[in-house]
Amino acid sequence: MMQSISLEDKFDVLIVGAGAAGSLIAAKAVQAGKTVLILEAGPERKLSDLESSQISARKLKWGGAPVEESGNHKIGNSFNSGYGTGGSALHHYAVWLRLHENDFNLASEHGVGLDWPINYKDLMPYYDRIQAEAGISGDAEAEKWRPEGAAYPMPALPVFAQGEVIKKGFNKLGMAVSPLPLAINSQPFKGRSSCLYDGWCDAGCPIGALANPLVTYLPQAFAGGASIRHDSTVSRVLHDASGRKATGVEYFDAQGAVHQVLAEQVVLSAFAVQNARILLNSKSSKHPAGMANSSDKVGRYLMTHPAQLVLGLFDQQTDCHLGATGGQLLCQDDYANKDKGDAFGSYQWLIANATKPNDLLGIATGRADIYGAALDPFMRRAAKHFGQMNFVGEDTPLADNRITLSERKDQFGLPLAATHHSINERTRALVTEGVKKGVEVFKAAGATETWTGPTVAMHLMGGTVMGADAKESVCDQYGRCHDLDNLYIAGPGVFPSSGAVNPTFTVHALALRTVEKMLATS
Amino acid sequence: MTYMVGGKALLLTPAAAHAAQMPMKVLSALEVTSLETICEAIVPGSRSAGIAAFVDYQLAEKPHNALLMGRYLGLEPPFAPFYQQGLAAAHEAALKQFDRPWSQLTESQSKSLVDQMFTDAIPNWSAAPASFLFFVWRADACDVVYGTQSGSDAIGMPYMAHIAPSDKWLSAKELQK
Repeated sequence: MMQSISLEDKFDVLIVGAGAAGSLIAAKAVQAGKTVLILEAGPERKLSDLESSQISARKLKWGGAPVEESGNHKIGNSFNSGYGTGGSALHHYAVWLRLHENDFNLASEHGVGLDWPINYKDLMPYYDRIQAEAGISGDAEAEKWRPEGAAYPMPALPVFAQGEVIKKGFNKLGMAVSPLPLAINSQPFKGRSSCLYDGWCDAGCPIGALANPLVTYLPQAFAGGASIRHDSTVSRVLHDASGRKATGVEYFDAQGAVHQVLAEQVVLSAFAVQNARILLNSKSSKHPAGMANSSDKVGRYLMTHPAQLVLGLFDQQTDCHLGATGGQLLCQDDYANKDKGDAFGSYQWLIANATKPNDLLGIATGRADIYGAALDPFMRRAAKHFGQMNFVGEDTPLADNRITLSERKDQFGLPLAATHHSINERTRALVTEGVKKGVEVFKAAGATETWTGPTVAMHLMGGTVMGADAKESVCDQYGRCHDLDNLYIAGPGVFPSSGAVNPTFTVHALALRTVEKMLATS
Repeated sequence: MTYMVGGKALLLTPAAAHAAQMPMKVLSALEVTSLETICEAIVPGSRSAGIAAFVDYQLAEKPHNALLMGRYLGLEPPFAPFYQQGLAAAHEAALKQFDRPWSQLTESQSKSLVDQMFTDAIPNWSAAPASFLFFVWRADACDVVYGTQSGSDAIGMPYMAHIAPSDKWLSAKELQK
């Protein structure tokens, strides 16, 4: 490994991570006349790289230093994280839902977890602006649970046979469904084409129909002069003599050479785990427990949605390969009531996900008990008659669910991230209750055979939570670290609680608040 | 998958690599025959679909380029020891129970051992849990049998690619660089 340090140019804004949050901040900063550099740990990705294959899709997932995982509900970092241009948003399923009003005050209303330092009304205008910029297809009126906000800019995507079949089960049990709001074009939108409904979202959408960073904010960033350096692993944040001001970062390139880049403003948007890892590794005399960690909250309140598939076969043909991977329909009937006695939290159903034969969410994987001569007949039947839906539950923020530094080192000599995540009994009860209801729905829909998957981790949040109290949180409501005046954190790591909705829309809304605050104060 | 032959880059599907008996990069001959026999018992058709060539090729790749589903299941690189220790344990089990390597077992004997793997019933198993190895190998075998355009089409599910996967997944084609 080369040990010499190369001191390089100075930028107005230095962004670590080229995912959803970093891309948006880069675009807005260059449009405000700032010089911007993005450092991305993974390789360059282009739309033409996004082959339609569940096998090829794996290259888009986390490929950096191993992340240790422990606890009764491990976080599934490799599946949930991205690696390369676009980050995890390059392979996300574009289910863009708003948090609800009741997601912001868990501690004060239920004595559980943490409160956000903002409420839904603070975030609503940012949701509205983001959906107007990036595009969402949906039916706001049909979403009877939806909090206040502007109607979607595009009509909902069509519902295919799988959705129609499963919908009958919800209706028979008196439950409502609506079209699933997706950041996928149902019609041409701002020069981007509309969806072809062939279910390859997980492999990355190469046609521009799905709002991934390669077609939303990165083109704007590059058009405005932003630079990006790939294969650049940030090791630590640098600061001035006072310790109150970040001066830049240090990073390793692919050859192991060490570089330092200086900047007026530094944004960590390297996703929940790596943001915390960088901060914890940035120890100094001014920040002996790691940067921005005077509260001892860096790494804590790591969250992931507990999720579980309900699957089945139906007499009807379902055409389960059609549609979007995220699903076709939504049910949030149980969202408003968080305190369910033995169980706690909101949950939702993402219904009728487009499904392929193989891979983690594919038809074959869910039935590992079928093998040998029985497998191929099952696959042929399922290819025509398979249906599934995804339970997504709220995680309870727990301080002991955390990211720490391992004793083990990566190729650059940096400590690995060690993650611990467990769900408590009330969250476990929430999953059990929800999945039981889901099986009832499938039976009501006429499923001839029903089974369920394991409880898995979906999305990563927390680890660098925002809060009003500097002793209880890492950053303020804008993502600015309490301990440093010009170090910002963006991405789902700042969430103080998880809600039960997919986080990417909220990541965008918060990032817009962050960059506008940053630009206003710089 | 790219093989260098006579100074030329030869792009092959796993099935074509199997048919051409391309040399393995990581797995030994015994490991190849064991993997093929086990996977054939779990996912029929996986031998000719090139399960051994597929796994061997991915084990030789840099970890972030490896396309094995084990990446999602908590496997840490390097991935080869996980596979090789599992195959050694499977070989040992075949010898203990039937006094011959797995590749020489009858169909019913092979099925018996696979059943025991699925339920973690093989005594003194000396690798990652047998049921987990079963799950991973089943997933790999499903990749090569059902995860390709021809495999998807064969079960009646239209593949409908945006960008057809490069030749390494779909069709054998020579490419001279």
